[in-house]
Amino acid sequence: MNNPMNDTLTGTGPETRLPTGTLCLRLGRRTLLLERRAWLTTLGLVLALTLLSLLALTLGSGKITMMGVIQTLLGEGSRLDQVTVFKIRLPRIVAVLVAGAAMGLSGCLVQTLVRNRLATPDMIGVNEGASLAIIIFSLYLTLGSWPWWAAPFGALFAALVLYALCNKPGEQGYLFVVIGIGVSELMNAIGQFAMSTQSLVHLTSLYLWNMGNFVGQGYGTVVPVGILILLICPWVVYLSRALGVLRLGSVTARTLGVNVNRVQLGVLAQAIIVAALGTAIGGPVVFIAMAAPILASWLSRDRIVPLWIAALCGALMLLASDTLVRVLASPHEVATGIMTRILGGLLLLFILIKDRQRAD
Amino acid sequence: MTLTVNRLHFGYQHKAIFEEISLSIPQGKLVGIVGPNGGGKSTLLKLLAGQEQPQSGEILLKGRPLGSYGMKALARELAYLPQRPLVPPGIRVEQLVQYGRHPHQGWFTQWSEEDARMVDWARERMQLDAIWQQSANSLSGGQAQRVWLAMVLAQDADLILLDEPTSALDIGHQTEVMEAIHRVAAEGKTVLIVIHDLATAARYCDELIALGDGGIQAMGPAREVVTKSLIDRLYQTDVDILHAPGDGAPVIVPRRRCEEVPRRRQDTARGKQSA
Repeated sequence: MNNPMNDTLTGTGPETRLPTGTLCLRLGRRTLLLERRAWLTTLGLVLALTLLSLLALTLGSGKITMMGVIQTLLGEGSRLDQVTVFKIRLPRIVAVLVAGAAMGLSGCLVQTLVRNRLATPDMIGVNEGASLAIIIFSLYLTLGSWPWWAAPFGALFAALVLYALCNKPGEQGYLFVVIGIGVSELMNAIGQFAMSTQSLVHLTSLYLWNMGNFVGQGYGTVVPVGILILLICPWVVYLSRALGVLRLGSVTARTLGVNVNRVQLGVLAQAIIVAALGTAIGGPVVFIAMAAPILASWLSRDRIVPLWIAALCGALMLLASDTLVRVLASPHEVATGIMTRILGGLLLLFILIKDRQRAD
Repeated sequence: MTLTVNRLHFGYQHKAIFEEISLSIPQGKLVGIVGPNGGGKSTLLKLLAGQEQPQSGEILLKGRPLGSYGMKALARELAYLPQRPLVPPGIRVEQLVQYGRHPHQGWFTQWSEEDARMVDWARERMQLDAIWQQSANSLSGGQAQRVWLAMVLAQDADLILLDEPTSALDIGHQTEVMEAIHRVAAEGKTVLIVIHDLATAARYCDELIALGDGGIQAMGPAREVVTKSLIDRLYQTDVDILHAPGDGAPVIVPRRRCEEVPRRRQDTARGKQSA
């Protein structure tokens, strides 16, 4: 094997030349690369999230000032404020954050895998499958609690239907998305039909939930879902390096030593489960899974696969939508999904028009 | 011998691409695989790279069957560049070349001195200093191929398989890339390249393998292999072979196409019966 040390390289010196824009943590022979821009963006997003959460806690039918919110969080503050913050607003905000993060993460996973920005769990029927399962279980089975655990089954079912119809998502991205939209509409229709067989009295909350709704959310669903998502995260981290290489196409990835089939299946499974769990909280919230990764890759300038940034963006976008809905519709309650549809629809139009312009 | 192939058989459902091919690639040489379109050149390369599995026969890399290597281990021994590699949006030349180090990295060894050295070496060999920070989507054909070659170099594999690296390029870029490949082979790497331009192959390659009609039609030193009768057999074209003034490399001038396909098939059938 050639020894490039025999060549005279200019300007290397004793230090290792790092990839541009990275920091290297070194412990003996172990090294860890940190993308500077990605970490700064992450910190910025966490800050923005914190501020927005605090703002959201002040808003609502009972006005609390920012100082009042901070005092209440620290343990002081009036009884009324404590109830409002801890029993009503905070659970809802936590639910929104977890659902938004789940959507952002799974959207990024699928978009990267399929190499198509329209391919996200909310567009290809995975979310609708999840909510269909929950609808069926809650309508036809008398259960005491909310059957959030049914969501992954429904999502898996939708994914199997999708896979049966198109089994090369990486190569046939466009076909995959179109079939996905069909599957999504089908699941939605079946769900609507199931709901139409029941009397309206039983339905109101379920119907609202199916539009993407976080009114009256407690910790009952968010806590188990959040724990499960946290348990999946190490697996997501484990496959994320290979996923980055997979962006070069399956042939190149294979020649660089990536087990393409295993990574693809793993990433897809992760995306489906995370999306399903996120759907189980507040219903199928559309467009967050599509929009958050796009914002994330714009912020990180496409250098890496922005999985965690997409999760944070998803949380931020959903919280913004939810807060907006609460403020605008006050004192009525409107489903958050309405706002995500409006904003997301505008974003989708914008993207399609820009793509069209670039293609011309 | 770096790479040995024994009685390889590969085909799709009804059609055999090749039957009972055996060959061995010597170490440190630039070997060209030539032949008509549809003759199986790219398929052979994919099989040798482990991207596809043969129906029967074995491929031995450094004496061990290809299948016995783990994926990352194989990636450290063998680098393969497909015909039209995908360039993801937003990626810069530097990052693309750095991806070549992936087979040598792990979760706790994400960047090492060796990585930096190999990337620098690849960058220098392929003369990428000017475009190092550019977006990979904005490159010309020749530049893009040099970038992919740099990634392959950074991978630091002893065996490099290239599928038609110069097909879509104009003569200037073609020369640029072939010279770069020749430099790589001169470093001591074994390079196997599928190339449809016979004259270019004969000029730059040490040895040629002519693949066609389900088997190997000729194999040997490049300038000896390229003969009128071989070209007639492979491409059914009558040609004149001249010699370039500089280095004596064959220059092929087509005269006319021969419509002798039916007779050739009969010959082959007769040949098989008598064997």
